[in-house]
Amino acid sequence: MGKVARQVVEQAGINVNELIGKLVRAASAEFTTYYYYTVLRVNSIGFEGEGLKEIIEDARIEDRNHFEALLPRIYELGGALPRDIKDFAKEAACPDAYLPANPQDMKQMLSVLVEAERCAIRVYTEICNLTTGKDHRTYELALAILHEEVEHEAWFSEYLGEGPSGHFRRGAPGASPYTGRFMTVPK
Amino acid sequence: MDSQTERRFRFVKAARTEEVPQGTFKAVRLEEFDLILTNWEGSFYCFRNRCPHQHNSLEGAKVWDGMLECPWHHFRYNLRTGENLYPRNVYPQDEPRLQEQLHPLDPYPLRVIRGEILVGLPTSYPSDSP
Ligand code: FES
Ligand SMILES: [Fe+2]
Repeated sequence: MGKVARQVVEQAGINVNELIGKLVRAASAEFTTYYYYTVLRVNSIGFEGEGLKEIIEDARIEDRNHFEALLPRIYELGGALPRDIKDFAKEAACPDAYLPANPQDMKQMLSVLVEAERCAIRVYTEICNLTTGKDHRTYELALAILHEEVEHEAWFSEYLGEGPSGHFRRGAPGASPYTGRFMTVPK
Repeated sequence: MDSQTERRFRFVKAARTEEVPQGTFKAVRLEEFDLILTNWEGSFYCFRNRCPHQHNSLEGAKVWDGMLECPWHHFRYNLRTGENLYPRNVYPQDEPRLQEQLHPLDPYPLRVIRGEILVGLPTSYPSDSP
């Protein structure tokens, strides 16, 4: 734990234990989404020239990156991951992105994906709102992740025919252009 | 409110309307009941202060588009009916274990009289027993 790192956040008026809870639940959602997106990706082989598969791959790897980027902050603030991965998974800030009953139904697949991204956007917006002007390090980290979640939503909703995303998918899979600088392990 | 509801509930003052501004929540304890009040576009709602998912408090929830969103794992419920909306819309129906997580919120009847929010707490009459 970083003693002063935690103290300054407390002194700014944040309930640090509550914040740690939110960060652990967010980290769990990233970790579980990485797993569920892996299942979705292997089931999207052959769809429309595999365009969807490639977007899932970007979002999948970036979610793993988000988990890695969140981890140090949880421990700096005096938090920890649960010892049991089942307890960890149960705490995920967003519902699991289950493979739909009919994986051949592209619309069902996309609604699972787009809802998962929308949930993630709400999670990081809440963390940004809670920490803005008070816990600068968590704020910057949550904002970097938020940038990527917003892009993920736009890619999937573009596929749903809800209008153009306004940006192109990554040059290299899961490049994490915003969260990359917070990664303490190689991307 | 029909006469059956009148008989089954007694209405107890929970708050004044100005204590629950649009889009906010107020937790109240009335006798042994932990409740949460909310206001969406001028309509007030009252639920047991316990999310049916993992039984956590609903304090810190958000309300938007006529839905309540739980702060813990972001399940969403219809304010009017208490029904789960998300993840019901994405959880596969062939997974009973997942479907079991989708219980509705527990709503309480509510009235607003002269700026006061009254919540109906259950009354048991001997004649109610089966
Ligand atoms: S306890 Fe409310 S969503 Fe899990
Ligand atoms: Fe994501």
